[in-house]
Amino acid sequence: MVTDDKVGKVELLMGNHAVVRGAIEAGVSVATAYPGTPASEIGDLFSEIAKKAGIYFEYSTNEKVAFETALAASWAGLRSIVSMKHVGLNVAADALLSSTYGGTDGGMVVAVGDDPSCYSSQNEQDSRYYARFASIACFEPCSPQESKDMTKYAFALSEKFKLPVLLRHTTRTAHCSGNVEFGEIVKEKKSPSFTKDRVRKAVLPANAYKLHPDLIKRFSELSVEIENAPFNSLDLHGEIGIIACGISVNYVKEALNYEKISDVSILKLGITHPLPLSMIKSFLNSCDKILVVEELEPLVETEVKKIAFEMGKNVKIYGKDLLPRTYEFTTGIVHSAIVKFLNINPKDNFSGNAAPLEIIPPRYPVLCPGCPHRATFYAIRRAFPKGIYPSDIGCYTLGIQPPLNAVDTCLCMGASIGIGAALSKFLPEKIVATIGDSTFFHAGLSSLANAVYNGSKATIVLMDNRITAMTGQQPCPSCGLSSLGEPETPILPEKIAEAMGVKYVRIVDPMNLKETIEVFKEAASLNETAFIVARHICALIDKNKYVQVKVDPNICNGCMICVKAFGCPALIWDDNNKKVVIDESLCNGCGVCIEVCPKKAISRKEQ
Amino acid sequence: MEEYNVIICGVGGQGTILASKILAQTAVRLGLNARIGETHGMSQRGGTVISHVRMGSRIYGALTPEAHGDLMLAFEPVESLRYINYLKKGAYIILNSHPIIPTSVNAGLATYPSFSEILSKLKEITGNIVALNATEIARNSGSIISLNMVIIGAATKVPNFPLPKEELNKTIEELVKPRFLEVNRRAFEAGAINV
Repeated sequence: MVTDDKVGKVELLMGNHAVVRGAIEAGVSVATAYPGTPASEIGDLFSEIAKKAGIYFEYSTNEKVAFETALAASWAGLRSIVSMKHVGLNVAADALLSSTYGGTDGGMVVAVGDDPSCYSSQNEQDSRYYARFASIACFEPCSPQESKDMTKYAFALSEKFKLPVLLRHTTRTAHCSGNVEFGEIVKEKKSPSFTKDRVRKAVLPANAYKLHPDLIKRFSELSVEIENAPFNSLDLHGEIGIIACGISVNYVKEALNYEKISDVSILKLGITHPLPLSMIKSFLNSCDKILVVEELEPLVETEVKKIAFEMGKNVKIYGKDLLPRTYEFTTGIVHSAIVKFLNINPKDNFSGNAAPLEIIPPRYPVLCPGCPHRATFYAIRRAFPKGIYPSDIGCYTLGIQPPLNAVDTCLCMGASIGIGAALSKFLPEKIVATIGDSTFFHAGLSSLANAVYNGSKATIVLMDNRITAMTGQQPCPSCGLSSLGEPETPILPEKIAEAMGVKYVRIVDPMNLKETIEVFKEAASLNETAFIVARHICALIDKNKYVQVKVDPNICNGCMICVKAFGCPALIWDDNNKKVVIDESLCNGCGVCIEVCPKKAISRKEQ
Repeated sequence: MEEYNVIICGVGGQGTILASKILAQTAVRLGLNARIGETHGMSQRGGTVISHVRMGSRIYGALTPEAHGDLMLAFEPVESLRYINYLKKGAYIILNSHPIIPTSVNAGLATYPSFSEILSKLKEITGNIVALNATEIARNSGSIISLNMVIIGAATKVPNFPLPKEELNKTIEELVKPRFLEVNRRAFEAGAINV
């Protein structure tokens, strides 16, 4: 569907999928990604269509490799796109910040998903700063249509100025679906060719020294081009002005519509770096007071204030004094800032009547019924009752919830091993670091080498569920599937640990609780790095059909150990009968609770 | 049409994402401007979920402003309360009466309100509430997975609901895998009949 060659066709597309369509229209040859919410669907859709569309796609092992792969494609003269979540850009930053010096050849787009309000992330960093840091352009779509159009435009811009272009989504634009009108697809793909140019492509100190002024020159030429780019627009209606950046323009338009206000000038900025200087100057010349509406950091606000200062304009510029610097915006938040800015009595109301919080029980995300991680955490708590539990990024971070309480630290990809190995040297407690299979290949390899090399005493548990589960079941190097879902030889983490010199390496099936606890207890008695692979397939992709379990009400004494220590969502406390029952709509029949019950009240149903 | 806002809420895994796609894709085929706002990832693991489906010439963003929702499709009773702030006074609510008990309640850390308590809180905002055991209806139609179809079917009976039943049926055909189509159609019809 997304590959349909029908100009003018209108489809419902998610922002992330619209980026893929834009790349296809631009004749992209190579796409790479490391999955991460809210950017995952870009890679997932490429994985699905790559073969048919004649595109090379890979899930790289981390964002830095993904960036390098896309850059290599660009150096081979091909158009390429790399996608990742915002914190992934921190991982790729090393490559990004030097790539701009020598620059790109084929057009290259870096699609990044920021996450204001931390829906699925460990921070709400504003990745637009990277565009400034690296001297590259930053596009911020406000709709799926713009996600597509900007992506297509960005390829040409990148090619012209030999700089990668940052396409910055937020969770709201990445996961917003809307009408997208298809454009023309560039049919002729470039054939790969590499021109040796060691000054540009080998940034040794002497070359980098020469290239930096060239980078500044290319970027200032790009800034001139941006003046005429679509996506920025000036709409003058009087002396009061609002500058709306990226997605904020939606909230500004809606708030003004609801208030029936039409005599406000609006400068819509779809490109927030570099800023269109002459447009901003004419806006400053036309307006007496301006409100800058942008989520997170006051990046545009600061720039506009600087331009006003240089022009000697006495314009009152508001921004973060009326709008929050944290969390994503809503029409209501922007409306209330506009009401203050315009000093008006609001006609419309944006605070709904909420139900009292105390009557609404919290509903946190939890590990799925039948999730092997629950069994692994349960075993860890039994074998290391007084341990400290550094963990990592993935589904298993949910082990932080009661009743498991088996995650004490979570920082960034791979940090479980780095933090865990270090704590094991500074503290008397036993340290158990948990890390997922995909995360291990992403950033755990060098930390494991460091742990062994520098004398860690931690137990490292590799929670291998054969997939990158949290972000939508993408393959990873240990799962035996290629980036396109075809059979592939798996790279086994236990072999890596052995090769790195870990002496105690074991593999357990966490669904075999007794054996798993025994192995963990053995590891707890050691004074050296232990590496245990807890391997069992993710419940969401397990094709085996299990017989569900039942609770014998005559044996269940209502001790609630299964609920309070194991906590599978399918185990329901029946308050009337003071017994535990199984919710058949949730139970997947993994059977671990059979072992957990001290009274042996749980058993498999008759087949 | 200027603006019609639907709030779809429930528990991760109940099929709210497909439900929002069916509504928005129907709207787009009918030539309407439409948006879906939703979050993926962490929130899908049995946590609380909300999707916004917006239609009309006057909408830009993916999020329904608070107090501007016209219709709520609540897949789970207590989840209707969690997002009631999005509804206008007098909005319509299709309310599945079948609860899913959160682990917080199971572990004794919170209590689940009674259905009558939930209804009385909702009635402070609107009297236009259609409660039905959509889970039971889905099960009787052949599969609990078709819960979303039951609820969309029920929505077609809401006054001023902008999407015609036959058009929704076409979208269901487009989006549902052939082997599940029969069950889903049955559930969709059953939802419309039971209102």
